[in-house]
Amino acid sequence: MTATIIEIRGLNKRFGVGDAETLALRDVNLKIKSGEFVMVTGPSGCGKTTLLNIIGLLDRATYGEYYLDNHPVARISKRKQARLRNEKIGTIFQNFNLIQGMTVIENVALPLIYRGVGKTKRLKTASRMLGRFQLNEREYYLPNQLSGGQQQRVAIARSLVGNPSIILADEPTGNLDSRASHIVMEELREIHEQGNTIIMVTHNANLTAYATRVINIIDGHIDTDININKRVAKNPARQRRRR
Amino acid sequence: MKFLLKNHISDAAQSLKANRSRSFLTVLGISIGVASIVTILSLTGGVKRIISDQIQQYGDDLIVVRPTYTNHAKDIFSHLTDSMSFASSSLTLQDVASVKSLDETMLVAPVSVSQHELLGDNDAVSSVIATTPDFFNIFGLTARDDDDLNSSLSQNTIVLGSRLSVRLFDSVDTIGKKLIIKGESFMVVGVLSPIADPININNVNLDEAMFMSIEKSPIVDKTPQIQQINLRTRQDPATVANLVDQAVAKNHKNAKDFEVLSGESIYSPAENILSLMSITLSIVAGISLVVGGIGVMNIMLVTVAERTREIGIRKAVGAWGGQIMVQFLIEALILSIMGGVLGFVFGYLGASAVALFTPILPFISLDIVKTAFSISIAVGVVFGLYPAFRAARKKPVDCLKYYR
Repeated sequence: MTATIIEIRGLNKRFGVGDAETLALRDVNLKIKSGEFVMVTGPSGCGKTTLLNIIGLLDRATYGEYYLDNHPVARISKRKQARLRNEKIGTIFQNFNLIQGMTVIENVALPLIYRGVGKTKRLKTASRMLGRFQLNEREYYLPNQLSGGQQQRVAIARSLVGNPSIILADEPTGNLDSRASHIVMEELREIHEQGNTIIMVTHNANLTAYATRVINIIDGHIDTDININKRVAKNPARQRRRR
Repeated sequence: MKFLLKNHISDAAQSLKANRSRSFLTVLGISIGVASIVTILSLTGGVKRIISDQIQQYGDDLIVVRPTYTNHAKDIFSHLTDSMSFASSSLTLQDVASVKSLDETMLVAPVSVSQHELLGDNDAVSSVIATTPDFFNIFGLTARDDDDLNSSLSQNTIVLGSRLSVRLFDSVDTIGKKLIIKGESFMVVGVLSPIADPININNVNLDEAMFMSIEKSPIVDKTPQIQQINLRTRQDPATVANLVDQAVAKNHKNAKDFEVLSGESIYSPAENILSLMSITLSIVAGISLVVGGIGVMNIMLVTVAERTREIGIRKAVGAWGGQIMVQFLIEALILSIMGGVLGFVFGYLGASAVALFTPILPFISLDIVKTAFSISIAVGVVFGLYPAFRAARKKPVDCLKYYR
């Protein structure tokens, strides 16, 4: 039995006040186990990104409980939350969110700065990570000198550099063509096979083939929650051998 | 907790370089404020040094007796108004005699300054100092032809300052010439060497003054006022000042209408006025510093707004509010410290430029360096805090939604 890494109970998120008030998430209950590849789908504005932001500690629920690794998030200080974002969670965004003024390698090394890693070690680690994505020769390029697919791979490298256990991806292929999408998805599959938990938000129903679990959200509420059990990577090493 | 100082400094340097002209203008704003304060401090420092040089030059064995009219309030404002009430002095020739009779006093020179029209070859209105020949010895004044001035002031003989001599007779070689004051004829028996000191004694430019005997002063001035008695001693000035105080107090029936000053306190009224002026000027200059600081705040708010997305990214990868705050605070500090350094250079150049036209030499002490440095740091912290705080407080999700 794998451990529950994320548990959400009765989660609500409200935006706006008075007449403009909308409930982006209503009464969401969710348990995610370590090693799952969860895809969250649903129409635009259904609240899937909001859910991902709350899971990624970028946003707070209006009410409801969220346990990360069995710790109630509501009781964790902002500073501790920042540290959890740094150590436990890697985030990938639709628009890559690389810092434009920094080179590729500096972008990848960014999370390590806030972990207090020294410069030499930081750049070495970042370089190794970029090597894994075949981006070594682009290390000193600026993000806007790369293609979208390359930028997203840099962003993935950044999300992985701190060795987090949870990867959150918000429409990582949303800005990419199908070929780049495919490459990015293969990277994510590989990351998953190494034992990481991935939660990915997407529009694209075709991509659900990569997932072990598909959650469909409609109007801020979980509509369907389907487990594709055969794909759960219980022992990534064995699975890789099988392939 | 890690403050990541090195990273913040290199980030800040990068950001400031990316917006060169705007950073430069902000730095310039601060530097103008710092420059004016450095100029003021270094010039007042220069003047103070002239005063202390003079104290050294005249030695610390000088003792001065002055009349006082105000009550015991010794603050600077009463000193400022004091000079207006010299119309009638409490000091008398009897006091001079009592002081002179003390064994401890070596040289005694009463001073009575008045303005008169002098008729020589040319006419001139000038300060007339009624005193004794000891005056020349006390202030180290010499005759231009090395004559002994000790017996120069008697019945109808006078000594001229060098420039007054030129004004009256178009020459410095005027010994033996006659001039008339209020119908009375006086003969010039000595002319002083030109005096280089920019600071005057008793508010009179000695180069432009005429010296006469205090005993003869009633001829030109019906009620001579002794504004001051200068004296010199070979013994401990403080002890002698005490004796002088007792002697004069006896004449005055213990009325406290005079003061006996020795050493640096002689110059304290001047120093106090100087300090007051320098504080006033610095406050005015401080206004420009506030304006510069507002410039820093303004630019930092723009920077924070421009880099909202970056803040979001940094927070998403694990920066907490404090680290973001320090990052932007350091950027503001770099701006203001650069302004401080530049302002210090400008201020020193400014003071040197002023020095070209005045006898004041700019004076830079470690204190002034420290003041300039701490002022710029204070401006950076005060005006950088709010933008940095705003950057730190933003929610990561809001920052990431931000589009430029």
